[in-house]
Amino acid sequence: MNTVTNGLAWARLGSGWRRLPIFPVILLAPMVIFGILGTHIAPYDPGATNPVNALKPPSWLIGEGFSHLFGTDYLGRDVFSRVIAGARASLTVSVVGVGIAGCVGICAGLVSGYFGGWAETILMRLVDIQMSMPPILLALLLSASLGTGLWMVIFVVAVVFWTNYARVLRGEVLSVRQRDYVVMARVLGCRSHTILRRHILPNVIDSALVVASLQLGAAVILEASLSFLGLGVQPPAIAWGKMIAEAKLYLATAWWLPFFPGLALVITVLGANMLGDWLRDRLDPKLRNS
Amino acid sequence: MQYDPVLSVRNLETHCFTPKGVLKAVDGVSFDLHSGQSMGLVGESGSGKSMVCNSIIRLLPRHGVRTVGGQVIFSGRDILGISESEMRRVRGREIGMILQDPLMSLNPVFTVGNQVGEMYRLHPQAEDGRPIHQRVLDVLRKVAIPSPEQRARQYPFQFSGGMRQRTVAAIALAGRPKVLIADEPTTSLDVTIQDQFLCLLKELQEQEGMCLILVTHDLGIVAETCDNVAVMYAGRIVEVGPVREVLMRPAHPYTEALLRAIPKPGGRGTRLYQIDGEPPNLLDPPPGCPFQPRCARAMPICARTTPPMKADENGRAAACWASDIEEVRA
Amino acid sequence: MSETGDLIPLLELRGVTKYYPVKVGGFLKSRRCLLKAVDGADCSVLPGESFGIAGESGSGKTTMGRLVLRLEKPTDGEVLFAGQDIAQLPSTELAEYRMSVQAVFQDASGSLNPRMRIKDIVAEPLRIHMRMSKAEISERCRTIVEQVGLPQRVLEGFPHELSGGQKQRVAIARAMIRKPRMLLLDEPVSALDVSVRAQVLNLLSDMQEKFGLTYMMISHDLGTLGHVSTTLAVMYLGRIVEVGRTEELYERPLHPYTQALFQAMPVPDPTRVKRAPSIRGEIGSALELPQGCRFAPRCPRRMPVCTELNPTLVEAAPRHRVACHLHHDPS
Repeated sequence: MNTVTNGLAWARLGSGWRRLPIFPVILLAPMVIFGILGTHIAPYDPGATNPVNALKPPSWLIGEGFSHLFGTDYLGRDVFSRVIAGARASLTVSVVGVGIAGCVGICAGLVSGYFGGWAETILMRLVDIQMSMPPILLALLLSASLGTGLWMVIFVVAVVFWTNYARVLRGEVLSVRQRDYVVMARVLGCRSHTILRRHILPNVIDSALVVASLQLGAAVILEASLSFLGLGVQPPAIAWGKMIAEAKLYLATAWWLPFFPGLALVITVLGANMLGDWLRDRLDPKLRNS
Repeated sequence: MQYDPVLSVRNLETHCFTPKGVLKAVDGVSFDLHSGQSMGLVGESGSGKSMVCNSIIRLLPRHGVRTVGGQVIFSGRDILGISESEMRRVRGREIGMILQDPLMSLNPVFTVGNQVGEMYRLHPQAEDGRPIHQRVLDVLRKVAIPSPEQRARQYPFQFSGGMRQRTVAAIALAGRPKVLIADEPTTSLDVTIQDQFLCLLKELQEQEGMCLILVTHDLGIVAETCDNVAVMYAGRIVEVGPVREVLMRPAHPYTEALLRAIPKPGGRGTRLYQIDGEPPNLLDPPPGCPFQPRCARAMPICARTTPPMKADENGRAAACWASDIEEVRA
Repeated sequence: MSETGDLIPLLELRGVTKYYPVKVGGFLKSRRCLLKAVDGADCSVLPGESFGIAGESGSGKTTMGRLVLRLEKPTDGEVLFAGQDIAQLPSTELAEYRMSVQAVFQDASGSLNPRMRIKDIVAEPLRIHMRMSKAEISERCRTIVEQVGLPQRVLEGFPHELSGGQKQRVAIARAMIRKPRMLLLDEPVSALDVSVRAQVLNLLSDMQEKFGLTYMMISHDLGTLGHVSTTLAVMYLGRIVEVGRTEELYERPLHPYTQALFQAMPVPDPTRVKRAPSIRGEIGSALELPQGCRFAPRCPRRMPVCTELNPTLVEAAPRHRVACHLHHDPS
């Protein structure tokens, strides 16, 4: 039946696009470029107000050419420029925040899954306590007591999200450490850190990637929630979440205000999830060479 | 044979359609099963022996696996052609099945009695007016489960491996099938438990007058349990015949090699007869006889033409150019 | 074993015991119990021999293997390797012990890290303690891979590209690359098909001959054990019930359990007259051991004494020891 399962793996790989991350790259590339170049490529100064021109729908819809592609907001600021400028904060918060959370969570998961004992007890109780709290409450507590600003938001994201990694990774490590190849590594005389690095981590990292790709989206949303409550990045800094939060009064009259930052958010999250899928397949030698 | 077989498989072909091509998992398998007979279906993994069983009861593992040709004639009709609802009546009632892993074939959230009784609820038999509970106890007694009254109220996890497999057998027997297919029923059992289970299976088969198809990779089990044996290799039956004949005087080089490759006590210091190489990749089978690249007696013709099945009057047949079976022409 | 006085055993187990504390029972009524996986095992393995351990699941044979590999430390008793207790080894000597004793497990695909290339898997033992150049390492890899009968091209591949037999050859290559003195084979061929099984068993016997290896083979398959081992120990519920030279054991099994085991073994010989199974029921739980002999509840030749006293291993014939009251000489 070996050949049958090989055939199955091959089929799972799908045809074409999953082999090269063309689709996720198409989705993510503009966001990354916006994030890096930001205001340098924005057609207008994202902070420049123009009350005469306030709340204009996207110009191409009302036959005004390409002057304001995504329309203008209640202060007459160009939404397109603001979406470009907001990419930096949103991407930094989600990528760096989720990255830090990942490093901490993976370490916690490896340690508690592999060594067990008191380290596991402490870490996992901590995870349980934190998971029993609504994440937004925790974020509020932290922001309220530690202050606001970009780095604070990143810190909050890291604190809120590390538990997911720790939990998932611990479970994976528990199952992988029972495998014969880990036992064999002990028979060969490998030290614990070698076993963790060479034999366990590569076999659990794909779960971490899946968690990460799902959390990237959640992080942007958390950033938005904090901004909504006035605890996110502070003006004049711009972030997508903040833009959506600000647009709440104009939902009925100016749909483009929440729509475009929301679209940017959706594209980023979708791209991140697809990239995560692709990476997971790439990292699995079973799927790589077939 | 003067009387009709209970089950007759004719040129059965089941293919797996994979993106890499068509894999002929079962490639023209034919055999007859007469009333009260037991047949061992022997082969290595990937030889298609389980696929033959799944094709007979039409429960193929997944999409992309289809029976593309042949007939399975059971009580006078081709059950490959009947509708799914008719087939459901055949399964369980007329053809029962026991799978390899008893823990997987029992639902952990229902009591054993409930699961054995399900067969009676699915197929109400009007002729027997007794309550289901009574009949469950009877069948549990039949498979030698001690104190069935208590056992019927327990859950599968409270049973040991051997008891679970007896429960699976009880479920299969509850419908009083005419044919029982057992797919590696003892692979997950210890040798003393295996021995007990096989004895029970043989006893029940004789008592009920059922036909038995026993799929296994162990020629020892076949020798002790079956009347006939069919040896499969690469999706085909390469040799078939009465167990005694086949094991004492194998006509196909593969059967012979299999027998000689079995490690035996006291063989220390002697080398085992080994078949070099690996079973062929069925996506890209070798030309001619599939065993030819590994065969010690390969001749030029073997790589050119697939040998036909040559059968003698005793029901002995082998698909080998070198076999000394004298063919009888009908 | 006085008659083998000049041969010092390579591995010796003296009263080795391994208990695991476990919780049994439900949420409210749980109680602590001892799972007696191995309970007072004595045996010795001579250099160059093949020592087989037979037993059903739950007999403790796998735990024995784990104790010998020092994956577990015994609760009581000693595991001596070349006269030294491996539980007491300082770390430098433990590294040496790890070099001398290697293992091959049943599930070849499970014992190879799916994320590593074959060359890295085979070379891993060399990277751990030895200072070797890359060229040396790859040279050793190529040699050992050839010795286990694999083509060189597999080195660049991953485990999933290999067949079951090839994976097991890779596992053997990894175990052999540091030239150990002893190999622990835990069901090395159980997962393989008959035709491939013969290849691997032949390879193992070639290796033993070539390198003067000592084997300790754990299996439930008496056919394989009978073919490979020179000495055979039969385990039942954590105890060795019979041990002796393999031929002797097959010809004249003394313990009723050994007899039942041999009788239950399926033999592809249609002329053999099949008798009804002599024992009924299944192996008991290592949590609730019966008083007296552990086999007594299933034993067809049970005597009153069997349910009271646990028999010890006694010499019933030269180099043949059995733990059964039937063979206890009162004198």
